[in-house]
Amino acid sequence: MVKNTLPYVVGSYGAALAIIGILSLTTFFRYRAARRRLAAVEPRGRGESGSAAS
Amino acid sequence: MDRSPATDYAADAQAAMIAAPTSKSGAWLHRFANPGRFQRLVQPLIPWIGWAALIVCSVGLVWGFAFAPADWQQGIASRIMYVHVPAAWVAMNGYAALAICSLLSIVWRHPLADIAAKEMGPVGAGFTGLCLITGSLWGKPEWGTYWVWDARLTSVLILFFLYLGHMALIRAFDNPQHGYRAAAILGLVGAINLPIIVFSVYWWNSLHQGNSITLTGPSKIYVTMLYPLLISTLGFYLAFIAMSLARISSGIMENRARALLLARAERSGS
Repeated sequence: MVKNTLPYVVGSYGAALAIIGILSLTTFFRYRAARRRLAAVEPRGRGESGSAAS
Repeated sequence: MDRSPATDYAADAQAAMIAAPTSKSGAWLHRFANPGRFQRLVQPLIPWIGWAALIVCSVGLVWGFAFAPADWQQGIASRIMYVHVPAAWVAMNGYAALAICSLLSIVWRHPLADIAAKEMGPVGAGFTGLCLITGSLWGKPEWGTYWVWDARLTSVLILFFLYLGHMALIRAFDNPQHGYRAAAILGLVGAINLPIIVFSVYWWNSLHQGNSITLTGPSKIYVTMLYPLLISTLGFYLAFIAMSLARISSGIMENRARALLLARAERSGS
């Protein structure tokens, strides 16, 4: 049985920070890029939300 | 009528913008799940949910790591619970949400449901991976091994593969609609794994402990451990919701930008 369990605890919290952090950052950068790209191609007066369907 | 690939893609992307009611029962769904209405409703909420997730996750994890008491049997290894348990709950409920989107896609063929299922997949896979990693790191000091082919562990590993399979299947076809349809079937059929995960610790002899918190009975966890666990869980749910909404919104904007560019290219080419 392992006596010093602190490295496992730290590893778990590190994995949480790494996985959630990477997911959050990639989501944020993708969202920002999508907004900018749509704003660049959207006709004026239609906003940048991609809301209209016509 | 002959259609060019650009016309096909523009039509697909356009279909993702327009939702025509297909039945009376589904009309209200189409009304509230229209991509334009979705964007207007959700885009202002995303930063608020994101910041709330950051704050609540920080409070829950710092409380769990530094201030929650150690378990009398497991010692400080029990602090892995504040990451492992919320990740497991989000992984399972994330797949339940994906399965509901798959059902909406199959029954009403709603394009927003397809996009939602597609964008929730990677986020759910991330939380399932986190659950498996932290479970292994908990297993080594407590069971003496990182992994056993236990019913609970194996069924969660299958959940991880279902997420990966869903992500792969969506991208496996040239025609995006075929990918969405195949992935929706997998998403729906895979939901059978969820009750197996929940009840696996009762149906089979399992190394994994039983459920300490249930919706119907009293909690087996003392409040000094329960509060940080619930706060951490709330933070993980908020993070899942914020990331999923932002990714769905990104997907809608990308589809629209692509459709506009293709339409512009076809106009200039004709």
